[in-house]
Amino acid sequence: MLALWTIRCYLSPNGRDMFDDWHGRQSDEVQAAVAVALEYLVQRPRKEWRRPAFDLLSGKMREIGEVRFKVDKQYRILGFFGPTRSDFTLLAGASKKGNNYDPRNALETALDRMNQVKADGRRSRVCDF
Amino acid sequence: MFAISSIGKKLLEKLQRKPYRHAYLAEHVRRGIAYQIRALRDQRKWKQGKFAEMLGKPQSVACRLEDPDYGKVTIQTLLEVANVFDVALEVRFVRYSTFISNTRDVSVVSMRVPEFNDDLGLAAQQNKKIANRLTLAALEPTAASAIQDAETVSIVDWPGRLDFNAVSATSHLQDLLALKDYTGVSAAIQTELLNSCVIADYAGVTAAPAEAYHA
Repeated sequence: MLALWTIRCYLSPNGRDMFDDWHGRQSDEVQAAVAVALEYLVQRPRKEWRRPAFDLLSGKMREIGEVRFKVDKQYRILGFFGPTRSDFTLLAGASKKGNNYDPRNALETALDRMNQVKADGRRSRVCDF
Repeated sequence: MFAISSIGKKLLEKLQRKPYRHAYLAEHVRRGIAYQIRALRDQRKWKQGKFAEMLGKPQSVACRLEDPDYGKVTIQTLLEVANVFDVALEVRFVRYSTFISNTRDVSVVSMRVPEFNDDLGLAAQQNKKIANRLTLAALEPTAASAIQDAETVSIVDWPGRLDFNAVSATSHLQDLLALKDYTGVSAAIQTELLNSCVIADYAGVTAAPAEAYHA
């Protein structure tokens, strides 16, 4: 397997893997969908990260990208390309109905976490699914 | 034989759970089909509209076939897709270790499949013969070439290492020779090279430096 990207997960100030916390609370079906969606993306160059499997947000969230998948309902994994050139860091997981994320503040959380990781690369670690 | 070490420890642990295992299988099958249809279409440089037209279905159907979340594609539809791309289709039950082994490489390149004419067609066979002879007779040691099971001609000592299928190899070899010294290339081989380009169909892979993947 030729991985072109390293998948990292955001760490809270006390070193807790917040994406893993969300992921661990999901059903086996959602966990499997996350694993497989990422398996495909890590083997693809940036230009192949596109709809329907991935999308970049817009406006003030334009640096945030979402991995998109459906298991009974729509799910989004919010992340960004960084902190280094070949990394994609997972910031938060959420389900989505219409324009609404659950948790509702998922986007703001992701933006805040991205800024923390950008300011200090140690606020993320390589994650394994 | 499948090496357990080639999959992550965490994945192996999770696969012990039946619901996870079944979901993982379903997700891989659905996503794999969608991604491969897109890869095959891109390989042929077809727009989605052209693919739909060839399939004799509305573009919305072609779009759905490339959506990993769709998951309701029938074997009949897969056969129709295989016919449009002129590739074979294999659907079979296998042990999990085989499945895991076969799905470690899901890169775009691994999903490309040549159409029949570039695989078992007569022109492909002719080109393979020419490419093999050219590589062996004319380019060694200049290009330190290797032939892999007569389907892929690899030219190393060239920017980015290029792998071509044999059909496209001759046109690339011509480019190579155009830039390099013809010393050691016989007139007969040169003539054959030029003649071969008449039947060589350019379908090569563009080499890109590693940084380009992250741009």
